[in-house]
Amino acid sequence: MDEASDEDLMGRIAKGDEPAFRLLARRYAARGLALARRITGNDADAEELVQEALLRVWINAPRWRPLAAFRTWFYRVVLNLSLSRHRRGPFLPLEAAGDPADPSPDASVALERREAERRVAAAIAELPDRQHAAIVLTYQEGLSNAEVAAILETTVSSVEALLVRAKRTLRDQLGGLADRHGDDT
Amino acid sequence: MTLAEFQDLLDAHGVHLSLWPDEPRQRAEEFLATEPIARQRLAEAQRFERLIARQMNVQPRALDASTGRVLRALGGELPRQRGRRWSRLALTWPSALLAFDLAPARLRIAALAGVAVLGVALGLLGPDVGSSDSRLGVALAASDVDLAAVFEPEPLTGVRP
Repeated sequence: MDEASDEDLMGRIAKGDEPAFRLLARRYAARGLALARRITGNDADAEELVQEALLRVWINAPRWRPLAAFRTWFYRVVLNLSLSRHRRGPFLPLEAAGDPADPSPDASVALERREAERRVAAAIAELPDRQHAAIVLTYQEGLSNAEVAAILETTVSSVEALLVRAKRTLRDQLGGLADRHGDDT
Repeated sequence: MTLAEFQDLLDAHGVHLSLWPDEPRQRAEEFLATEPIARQRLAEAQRFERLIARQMNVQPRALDASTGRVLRALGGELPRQRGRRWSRLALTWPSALLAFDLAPARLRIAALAGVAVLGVALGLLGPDVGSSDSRLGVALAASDVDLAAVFEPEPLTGVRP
């Protein structure tokens, strides 16, 4: 069953197959958490939202129709829940990384890089909701403009416009950061 | 193509020109071949995208623990699914009707059907007792009671009965 497609699993879940649901949940919990965490800026909220999104998958599976890929549908549910939660409360930019302190001589370089990542994260977090979502879905999830359009329930040209506006804003805010850190590996 | 248009295309489609739609890609390649400033913009955009992508791909250490908590929370009893009972019924009701066993009640159903047929037959062929019945009309005509007076108001007080 591990090799079954998402859509096959949804077919089984629609018939009440709990092991199929738990397999699909294992596939998507981490991805959903990364997306929700990025939009809400809060770990506890992200956990709660992803749990709710997965429960919606289970509850509504009998009514699900494979008109779009399961991934698109699931991301849309997580994104909508996250944006709704984000609008209700202040966004607290997350720490960029959880790396332990580096005692090596390159520590100052690492520190500078972490500061750069923090600034990038804060700038992205301050974008308007839909621009924020378009950037996260494109760069974190690696989705095409067409997939992003399906998740945001809009047209491809609207997604392109969102990306253009978002990157202009980010370039303005981040200044020469890309020149100093864009070549870091 | 202008430099501003090229920059918008870079922002809309990303720095991998091979992934662009054919028409803008061909125009952009021609622009890149002739304009050094376009090549400079492409290099800047590549650095910028690397900066964004690197930050986006930083996964917090806490993510694994969060994933575990979510999956554990879903490990218990799951709620009832919506729509399953009705969709199943919609799919299976013709066969359910065909499979319904009438044998034990066959005599009672036959008796009920016989009574219903008798009732219809009596209704169609039996004696007519409608309001046009002559005997009923004669009886009313012979009555001493003035029905209209029963509903007249009291002459002195005006109170209706």
